[in-house]
Amino acid sequence: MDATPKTLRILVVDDEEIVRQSLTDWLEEDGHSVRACSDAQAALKAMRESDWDLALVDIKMPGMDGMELQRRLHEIDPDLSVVMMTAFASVETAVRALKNGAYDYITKPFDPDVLSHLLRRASDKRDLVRENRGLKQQLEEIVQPRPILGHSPEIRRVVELIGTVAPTETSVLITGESGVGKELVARAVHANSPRAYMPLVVVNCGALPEGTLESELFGHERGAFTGAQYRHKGKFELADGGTLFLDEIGEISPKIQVELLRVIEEKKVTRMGGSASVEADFRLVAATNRDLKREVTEGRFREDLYYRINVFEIHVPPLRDRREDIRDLVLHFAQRFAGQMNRPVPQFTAPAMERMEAHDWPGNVRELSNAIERALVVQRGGVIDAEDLPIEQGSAVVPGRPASGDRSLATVERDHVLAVLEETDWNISEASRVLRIDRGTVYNKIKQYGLTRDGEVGSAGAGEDR
Amino acid sequence: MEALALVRIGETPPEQVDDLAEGLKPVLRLPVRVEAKVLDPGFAFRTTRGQYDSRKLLTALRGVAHRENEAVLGIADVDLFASIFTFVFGEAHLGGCSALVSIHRLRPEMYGLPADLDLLAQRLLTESVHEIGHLQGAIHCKVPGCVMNFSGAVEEIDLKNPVPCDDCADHFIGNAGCTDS
Repeated sequence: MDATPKTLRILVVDDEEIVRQSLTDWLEEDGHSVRACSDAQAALKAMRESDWDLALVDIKMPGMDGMELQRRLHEIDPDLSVVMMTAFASVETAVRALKNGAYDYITKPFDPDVLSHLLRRASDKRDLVRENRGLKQQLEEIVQPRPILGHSPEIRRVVELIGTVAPTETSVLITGESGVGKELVARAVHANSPRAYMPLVVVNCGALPEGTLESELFGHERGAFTGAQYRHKGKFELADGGTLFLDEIGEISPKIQVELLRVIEEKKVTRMGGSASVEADFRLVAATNRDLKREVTEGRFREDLYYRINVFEIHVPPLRDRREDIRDLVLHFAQRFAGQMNRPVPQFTAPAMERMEAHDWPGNVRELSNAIERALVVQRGGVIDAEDLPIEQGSAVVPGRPASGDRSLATVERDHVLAVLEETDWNISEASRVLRIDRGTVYNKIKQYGLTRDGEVGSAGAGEDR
Repeated sequence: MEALALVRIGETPPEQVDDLAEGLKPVLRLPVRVEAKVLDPGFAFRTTRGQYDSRKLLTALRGVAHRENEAVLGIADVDLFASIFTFVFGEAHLGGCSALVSIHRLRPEMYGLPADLDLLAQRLLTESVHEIGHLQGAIHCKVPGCVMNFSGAVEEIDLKNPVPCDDCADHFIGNAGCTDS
């Protein structure tokens, strides 16, 4: 049992001095902080001056009565628990007080046990409100999507459209090339909607074969097909109360298009192998890098489904059409990856920035993000120069490297660690200073990539010799 | 508070007050005496409620027994009320010199049960220590079983011991409370 005293800050408002005095004495004996006020004006003043958990308010007072005072107290602090006190008990006044938002109602004189229980409940309520507020804040930090960066008119327009459609229940279709950040837009729509505290369920329709996608979306009953050992809830059910984001919706087969249309229209799902339908309250957000209208014209996408999902379209323009955003994005990614790698945020030379601003970025923001991450690995001395970037003017080829070679981050990191070790004659302390990582991490990298002193890559290595 | 005087109020049996004095001594480790004068509670009777005003009795107690740095505990046999409460088992001025308990609602007969003098004595001792705790500055304690735990019903008194928990014990050591003269 919790032995911690749960003291409350209590405002006592009553025009009778004997009541104020007796209540104050008793409440102080119970360990609470009390301020007694003889009228509504004094109570409102006390309320503005300090925070209170509970107000015990007499209904019948000269001047402003308790009901009116309760309303005004709640205007100042909606979390305040107000308990109405009266010597003239009637069901009507009790109901009116509770309807007006009173926490409880108590008749004078009080049974000491009733008052004690009431205070305990008020204390529990205050703790719950505090806990709830803290948890909500933590949750907001978790659900808060990454910001949509950039100051170009094009991206500002996207942000504006998100703000317009997010609070509604309207289905949204997000279009744009691969890598422009369509999922980021979908997350922003969800996070700014009334469904923000409910799940956002993401399904990449292009990544799954038809059978698997069908089971993932609609769920299945036990024994629906070979291997279906358990009942499995589909994504529509999991998104109940929240948002379902169907990425790459242009990739789904005609069969699933039909089933999808039915679920969207009926808001009911029937699991594979099942007969009963389950209600699903979801908001649909879809994305595609295809020209869905043309897909409709050419008969590859159902027209009725197209109009169902495309009630409100948000087009995310490619990066090459909003070059003024590149600098913002570069600085953002540099900061993020530097933090992840536990390194200082690098500077960019003017030629490096010019090269990035001139590049066409066919892979859009995703390509830019990868380029910055790689540059951060290979840079020396906290400065990223044009040569550190895996791009040339107008191309996506790493200077001095074969375009068809292994350009994975692991390979680049392995090569770089090995190069520094060779430069420092395998002096681990010196290498750790150059790499700006601790000695333990240097040893880990050597082990991870199977590096050996003669420059050979050992059995754990993943790539070719230098 | 260097000593305690017990004052009978109304028809409270003298032997109950004598027993209480003996019971309080080892708990309080203070001189405890029984005042010869008896307080007549008639002046505190409120006809509209059929009960006795504990505040009025508290105030009057100091006039019955008044010695320097000595607190007074009145023991009544009448039903007490405080202006805001339907009844009270007792009352005290927090950090003050006067406290009051009543055996009226401590008697098992009040709840339709057979008389039990031992149980009554135990309840009276517990409630007396509780009110004296308030005189010494102790507030209500949330620890179950501690004498300073609040009791809104008589059964809750039976769940307590007539001694404070470790935290509240500090208030019962030394000369806390009642330093007026």
